[in-house]
Amino acid sequence: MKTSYLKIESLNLSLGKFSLQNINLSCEKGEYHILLGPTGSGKTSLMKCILGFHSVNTGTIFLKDKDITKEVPERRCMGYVPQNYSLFPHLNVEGNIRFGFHGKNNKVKDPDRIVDRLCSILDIQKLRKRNVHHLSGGEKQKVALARALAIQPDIVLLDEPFSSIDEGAKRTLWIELKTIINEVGITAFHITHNLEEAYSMGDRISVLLNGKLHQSDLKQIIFEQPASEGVARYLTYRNIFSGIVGACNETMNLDFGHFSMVIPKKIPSGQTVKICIKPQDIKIIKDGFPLKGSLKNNLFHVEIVSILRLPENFMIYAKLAGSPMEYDFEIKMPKYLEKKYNLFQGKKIKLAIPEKQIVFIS
Amino acid sequence: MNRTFDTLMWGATVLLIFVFISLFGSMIIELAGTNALSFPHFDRIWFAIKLSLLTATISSVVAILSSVPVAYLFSRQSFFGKAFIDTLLDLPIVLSPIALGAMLLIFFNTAVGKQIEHHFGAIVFEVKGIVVAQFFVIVGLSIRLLRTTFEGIDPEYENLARTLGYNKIQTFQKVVIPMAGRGLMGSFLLVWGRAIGEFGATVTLAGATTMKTETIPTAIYLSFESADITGALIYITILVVMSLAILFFVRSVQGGKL
Repeated sequence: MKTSYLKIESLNLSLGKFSLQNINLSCEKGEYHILLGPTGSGKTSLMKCILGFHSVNTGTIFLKDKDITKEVPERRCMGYVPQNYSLFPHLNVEGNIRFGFHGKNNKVKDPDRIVDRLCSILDIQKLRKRNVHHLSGGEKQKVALARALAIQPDIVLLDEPFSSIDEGAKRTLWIELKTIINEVGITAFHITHNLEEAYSMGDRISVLLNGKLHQSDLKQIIFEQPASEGVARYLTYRNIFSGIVGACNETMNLDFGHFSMVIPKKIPSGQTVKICIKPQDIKIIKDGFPLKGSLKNNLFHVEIVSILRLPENFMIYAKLAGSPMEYDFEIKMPKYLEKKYNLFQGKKIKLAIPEKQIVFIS
Repeated sequence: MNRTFDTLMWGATVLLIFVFISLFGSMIIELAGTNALSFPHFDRIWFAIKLSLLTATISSVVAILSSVPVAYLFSRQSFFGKAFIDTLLDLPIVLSPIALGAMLLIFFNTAVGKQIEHHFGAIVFEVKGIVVAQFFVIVGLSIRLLRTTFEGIDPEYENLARTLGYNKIQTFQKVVIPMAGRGLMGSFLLVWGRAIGEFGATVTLAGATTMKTETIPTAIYLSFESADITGALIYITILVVMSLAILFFVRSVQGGKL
């Protein structure tokens, strides 16, 4: 059984009208943990509790099985990379990296070797004497990371480290940062609102919405089995339906009122179940096209209400005949299919939903 | 319409510059008409300059040192009654210096004031009185300027230093003070300039005794009172030159040239 390296138990924090409520979270040694949530969900407040800048109302924070809830920030031995890196402007790159060595609570052996190693891993040897004003976003991030790691912390906390990086450079830096963290072998706790960043970097993800932790699990489970409608919506799963289970000819059906769907799971009849279907999992079926097994069960005749064209793909909003809704399905398609299928507003099309792509919201 | 707006703005600016130049110009023309170099009281001028520099430096150093903790506290903390105390500390900025001087004079006539004089020596109508008067006139400005400086430093730098093992005192020494350096220097020069030109509170508390409590502004007042226009013009010129030098220096500091 793995032991928790960073553990938060029943944490509550009130900050005026906003509050963090009953947060329970654990992070294992060597894990890259992502705290995911929209702006204003309380991610930074939770990080400030971990760092010791907010005194929690109730709850306990453990690091390496030691209760650090009342410990001052300078004794927590945590590396911190703030959102805008906050490199000290009165010091050069090396001065920034070495800054932690003069702290009263740091007893680092062989600081020169540590600085050399970090500069080598992060590939910032050439920048050592440079003024911090003359660094690019990516370079600033590396220096801030080197400064945080130089004090040999037990864990490194990264607050939206890519928020000030150009969109084009972000993906390369995700890989680079993850590689560096793996090479150093340190436990990382990273907060972000970006789904792609969370999925590509995290081992485990915790989803924080409106001050409450909705789900904390392996990234695959988070994306495949969202624990709540809130998580599903945050993960951009738009086709969310709530229906009553019924049995019909050895198949299980979900009745949504104005339409029904065959589900692959055996659930007692009469139970209310919430499901979602990712927009990219809904198929458009061309007339005369032979349907494979399970696709036949969930075939719907719809009319295109609107089409939203995006740089890499397009979204179709479709409605069932007689539906009281503005639209029933949101479908995401690769751009080239728009012309291939000759799609336009008002066109009547057939949609199929593979049973195995139906996600049950816990 | 845009042209009229631009003309209005430029017109007002040129008019104001003209008024200022006229002011300085008339003084220089007047000074050129007198025989300033044969002015017999150069020892008196030298005394006023030395006294002004000494008292302004002491009062400014004390004001800045006492303002640093107050300004830092106000820039970082929220507490009950903050708005009220803030208004109270701003009072010396807007209060007439003569009223402030009169308040100080009344204070030093109370039992507490007399005890202070008993322990620290005479203040009223003495050189120490100049320092005290200047201090009270400039301390509000000093707090205001330093608060703006500290508010300009993102508290995230301090948080970061704490995570790197620095306690609050170390963080203040190693992060806040170096980052506020330029603002501290600029604030010091501005309050020093204000102290050099202080007259109302000084003359009320320390009096206007020749070669004793005679700062440059007091010397201007005494020269006019004795109809010594040449003397007054010399003192005014010295004060204008000193004030201009300070302002240029402040601009250089704030512009990062120093």
